[in-house]
Amino acid sequence: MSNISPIINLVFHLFMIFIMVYSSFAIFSLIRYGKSQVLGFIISVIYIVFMSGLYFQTLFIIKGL
Amino acid sequence: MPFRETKYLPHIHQGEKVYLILRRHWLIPAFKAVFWIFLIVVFLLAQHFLKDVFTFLSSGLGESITDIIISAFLILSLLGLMIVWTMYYLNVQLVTSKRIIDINQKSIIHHETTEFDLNKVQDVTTEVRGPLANFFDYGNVFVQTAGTEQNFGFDHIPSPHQVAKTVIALSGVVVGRGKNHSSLNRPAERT
Repeated sequence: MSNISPIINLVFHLFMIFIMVYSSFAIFSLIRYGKSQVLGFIISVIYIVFMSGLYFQTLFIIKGL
Repeated sequence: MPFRETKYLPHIHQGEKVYLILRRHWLIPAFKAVFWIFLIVVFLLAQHFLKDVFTFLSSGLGESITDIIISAFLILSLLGLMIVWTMYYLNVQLVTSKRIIDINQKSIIHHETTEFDLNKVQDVTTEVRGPLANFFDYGNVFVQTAGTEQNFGFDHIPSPHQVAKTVIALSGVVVGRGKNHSSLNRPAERT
């Protein structure tokens, strides 16, 4: 079991790098071109909170392997 | 009475007023959002079903890997929902007293702004197709311009007939054919 954990960890973090890069572009466009920067910030914060929760939940599962 | 929304305007002309700010009808991004939510529900239901059928997925390494896959899919779905809303929010079309401006977010990293003067408008065509479009009153408006410039389209906008009337009225005012058209006297609609 302990052999597979680093591999899953690596694959998951590569996946998260892709998600973070794409999310960064989305948040940048939202704040840069959106009519209301306040709304852009609020949506971005809510999005980051949910993403962080899912990320840490997955990390917890991987550490349990 | 028109209102001023200068945030969207790349540069405002003197005496220019904004009459319409248009986004796609809410039903269009709602369909896309429902699609992503439907995928999430299907995935979660499939997880329960597969755990019942394949017992090795119910405990130990199998369960952990299943949970990791579910979490990764939820992360992807959340990103998908964020993109759906961002693209809806950033695609805007404005009709002012002098021009039509199309702010087109073609992708997350591709932003395009097109504008043309109302005095170049020749024909305006409205299209409402399908039962949903008729029931929820949304459709397309195509504006044909003079010369070799590209034609312009408002896609899936609410109240397309009203938008077409406003564009024709404003075009008439700019060219000088008509004044004080009745559709211009109503309060501006934010759609």
